[in-house]
Amino acid sequence: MPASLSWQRSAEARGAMPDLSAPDEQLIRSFRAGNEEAFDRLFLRYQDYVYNICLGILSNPDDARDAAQEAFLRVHRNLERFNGRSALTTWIYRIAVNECLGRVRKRRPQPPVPLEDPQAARLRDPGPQPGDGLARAAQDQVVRQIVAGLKPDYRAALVLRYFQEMSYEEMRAVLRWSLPQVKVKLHRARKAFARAYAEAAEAEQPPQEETLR
Amino acid sequence: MNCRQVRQWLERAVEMAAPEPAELREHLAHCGACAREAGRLRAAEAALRAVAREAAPEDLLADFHRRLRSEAGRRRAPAWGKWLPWASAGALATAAAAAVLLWVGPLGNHALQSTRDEEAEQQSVQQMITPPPAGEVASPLADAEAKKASRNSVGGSGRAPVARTQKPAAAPPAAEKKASAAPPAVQNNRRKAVVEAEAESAGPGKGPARLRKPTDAKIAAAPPAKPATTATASLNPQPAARALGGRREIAAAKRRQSPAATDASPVVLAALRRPVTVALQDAPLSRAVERLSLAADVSIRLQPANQDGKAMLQARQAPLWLALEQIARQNGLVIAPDGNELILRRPARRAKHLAAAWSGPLAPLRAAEFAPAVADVRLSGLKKARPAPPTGAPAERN
Repeated sequence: MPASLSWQRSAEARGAMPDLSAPDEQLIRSFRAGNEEAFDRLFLRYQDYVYNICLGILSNPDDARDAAQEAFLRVHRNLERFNGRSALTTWIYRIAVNECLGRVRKRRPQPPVPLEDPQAARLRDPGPQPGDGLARAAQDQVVRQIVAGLKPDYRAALVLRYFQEMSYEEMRAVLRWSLPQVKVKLHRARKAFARAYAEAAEAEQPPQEETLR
Repeated sequence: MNCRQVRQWLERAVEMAAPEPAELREHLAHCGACAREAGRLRAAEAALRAVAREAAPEDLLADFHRRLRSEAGRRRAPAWGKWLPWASAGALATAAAAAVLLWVGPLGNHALQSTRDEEAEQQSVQQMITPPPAGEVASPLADAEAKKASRNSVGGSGRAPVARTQKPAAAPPAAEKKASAAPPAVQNNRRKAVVEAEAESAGPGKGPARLRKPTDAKIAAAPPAKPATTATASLNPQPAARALGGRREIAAAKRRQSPAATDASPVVLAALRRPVTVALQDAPLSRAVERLSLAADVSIRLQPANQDGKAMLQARQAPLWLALEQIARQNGLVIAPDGNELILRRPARRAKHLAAAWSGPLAPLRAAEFAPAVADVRLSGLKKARPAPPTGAPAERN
């Protein structure tokens, strides 16, 4: 073992906290040595990602909050056994996705929420709208509701691909699907979303715009 | 380009935002259905990409801590609920045995006997509230001490179940209440004696398997998540028991059981009980040490003079100490802690260096010696108990 690493581990054992920019491996070692603060740093580092995965799949902020906490509880319980064969992020995301999918599958399927928000009329123009934060948020809410109406696997595929901007390879690692499976499910998810999105947009269109093209 | 080819191209390429070929543009200009489909896909793609990432709630961490605490409380509660019936059963069985003995025993012993039985029952209830680990690898020292405890107990074979409770029961009640403060060796003695008494009084059919309360050393020896019974047969602790079987060595080990005497750091103690899976067939010792070091995430050094050794090891989810002891025994070495590292080295020659070897910073460390310390760490709650992996969490397959 290099002398620097040996010293580092000794410092962790003494209870010294790794600095804020410490890599995940160092924080894990510190946590294993009994330093709970190291886990807090990991939590703060990944809470946004985990929360967004949960929000994307569950679409309800309260459910997402609960699922994110449950996912971190699982991470906390199992971190000592994490053997580093995959990246820590992959492992954490996988736990979060599994937690959310488990919740989705347990509850009864819900029909897509009807788009009653007046802002939904902006569906036909989904491009960026600088300065219009409220409209942006409403648009996001509409998209999340449509995603929440899809099959669980499709939700996970869309969320990881679009909301988390993962590559196919990362999705494969997180979802434990084969690469062809990732591509096929993503393709089907995209088609299902496009269909639902178009239907929602048409439902919000005034009659005179029906023939607009 | 026909409509079918256009649809296929759109579905494939819209995500990539690939430039449209001229013939596609031409087709879209003339085919309304395909143009609508293209517009639909592009709109959906843009909408998905435009979703903003939201920040997690600010109090998520604080809430998490609250849940962590409440979960720890919940975890303790089922332990009571789960084991209390067995504790009651053990107490009842002991009481039944005591009643029989009171009936057939000499009259002069009645009062003393019942008092001792009550104390034993109280102690058994106290001991049974902690759920046992799944593992069953016994510590050599614990076994040796249990034998010693049984030798010290009073009574013949017919009265053995109750007579064995006399030793722990004779301890002052105040000392019982402060069981966690008592030396581990004393705790082991008491627990073993009480458990044996309960097991025997409950009958051979149902006693030992259900009422057996593991000693601290067993708790330490078993990895919390995967029981150490998954270790292959080659990791048999019996030779170690023989090695430590001498009275002098047991006495020396007992003297060293105070936390101050065990010179291993918490890092080393945690690593020693970490489960490792290593398979080596006649491998160089240095390679075996390296593999174990990686598997348990702890630095293990091999003294330069011992580089030529060979190791044969089949460990599957066995605690590191068991695997290390195996290869150390194969090469006539001992395990010694050095700060946050472990060293495999030759034992000091007893005649000349005995005192230094057993008391210095590089004092050799064996399972029976560090097991109580590991158990203390775990029992005091510093290290978390590891529950079974959740169904959704791929903790072992990452």
